[in-house]
Amino acid sequence: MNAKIKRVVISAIPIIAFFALWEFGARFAPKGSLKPPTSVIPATLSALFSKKERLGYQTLVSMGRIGAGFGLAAAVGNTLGFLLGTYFKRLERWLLPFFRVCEKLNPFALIPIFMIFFGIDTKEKVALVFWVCLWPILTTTQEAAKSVDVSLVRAARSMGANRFKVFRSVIFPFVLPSVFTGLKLGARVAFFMIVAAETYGSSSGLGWYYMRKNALYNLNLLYGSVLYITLLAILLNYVFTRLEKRFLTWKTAAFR
Amino acid sequence: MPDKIEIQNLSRSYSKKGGKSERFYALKDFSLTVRQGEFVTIVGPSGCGKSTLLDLLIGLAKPDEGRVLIDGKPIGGPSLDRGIVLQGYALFPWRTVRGNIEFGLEVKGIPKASRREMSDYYIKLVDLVGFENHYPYELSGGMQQRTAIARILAYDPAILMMDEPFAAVDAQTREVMQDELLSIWEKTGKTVIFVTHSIEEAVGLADRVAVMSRSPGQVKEIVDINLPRPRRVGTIRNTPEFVALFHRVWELLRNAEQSGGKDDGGIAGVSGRIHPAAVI
Repeated sequence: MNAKIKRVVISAIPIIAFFALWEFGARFAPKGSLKPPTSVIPATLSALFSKKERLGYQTLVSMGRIGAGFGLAAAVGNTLGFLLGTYFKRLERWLLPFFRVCEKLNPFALIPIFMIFFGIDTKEKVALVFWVCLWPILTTTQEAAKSVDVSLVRAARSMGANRFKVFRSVIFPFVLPSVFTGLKLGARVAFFMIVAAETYGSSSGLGWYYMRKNALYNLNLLYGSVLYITLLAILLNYVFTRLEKRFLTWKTAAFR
Repeated sequence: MPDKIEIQNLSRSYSKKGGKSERFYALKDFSLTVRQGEFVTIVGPSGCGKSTLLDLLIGLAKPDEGRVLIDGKPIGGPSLDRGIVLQGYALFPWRTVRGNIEFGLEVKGIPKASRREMSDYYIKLVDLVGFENHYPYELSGGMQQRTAIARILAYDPAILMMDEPFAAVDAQTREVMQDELLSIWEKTGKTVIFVTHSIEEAVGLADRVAVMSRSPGQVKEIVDINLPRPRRVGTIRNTPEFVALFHRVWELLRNAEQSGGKDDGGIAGVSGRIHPAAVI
């Protein structure tokens, strides 16, 4: 326990130092370029709950879009990943180069194209989030499904397990930790994407909020929303890391 | 005792890398009959098709020619009347000892309460009480091995097949495991086909030793082991009868090795410089 506290304290030092430097630097920075955290943080907190600013509401809007796009990508990516990695390996080999190209397409460059097809409201944002989440989720699951330990499948089959039982009791638990790895990677890019997507052609959401504070030259809330968005991303990442760890225990231990 | 397993003229080939029409025969014309309740060990040079044979016996692979009869009936696919302990145990790492042991019972469709009762029994049998809720990675090699054996015993197959099950455990554990296996076999009366590299193990455990030759894999000779039962592998190997049988199998294997083309040193005690009598 003591060692744990020590570790937390030690890793907190750079973060505290960063805020101290920010606070200190703001006093010397040219006027109108930087606000110190002691004014940014309270302003952001009050914006979160104020009726006028409605930062909380914008958060919900963005999270809703992330949820829809991410959820859709999780469903499609994992299903495809399982199927292509196990029963449709030839199809997978055929599709792989195409997937690699899709994966490498710069999603920010796709924003205007998606606007042409999906308009400029929620549908387009959701589609963009779906697109960026799909590839890491699909690839991670598919790779894991491909690498299922053959001897475990043999063992199950030798005990008379049919295909469904093999899938449910061997392939699925084998791949599950990687599913969460994929979801974690997906959630990370989803956050990048939603802010970028809401920066263009939008009238709601965190990206829009941030750009509007920029336009209004509200430095407190401009810095505040960057900080706030970062915190949200950390929180989401934490949730998936915990889930991944929970299901990864046997794997890290078994293949140590 | 009636015949339990009849292996009749089994052949299985694979296409050679590069060559189109050329086939490599892992097994050719392999025949062997195993009686009910018998303990048969199979030894042979590496690459003689032992693993291919087991795949065919479980039903994970189909032969090119020949057939396998069990109780006079040809086998289809894998079935719960045969169980195999695979090389490297192949335990499910996300399942506890109990979960692993209950796998075959789940396939059999046995309700949860009885599954638990049965797994309890086998956990006791292989001496893993107190480790029911441990995961494979928390166990020693010998304990993993016992879990793998209990997993097969639990669904009560009439035929037990083992593919070099004790290859990866240390010498002392191996001896303990061999004796445990013998006592389990004596208690349950199962028919056992046991594949091994070790002549000592083959002779020490078996009623009969089938010596295989390589390319193509065939039964070269069957050696009857008329050592008294019940046995302890550790004590019996000092008897002159054991030494004589050991030497017999050793010679057969050496010939198999020589007739089977290049020596890649597959057999313990054969390709080495030490005479087998010095080992035991």
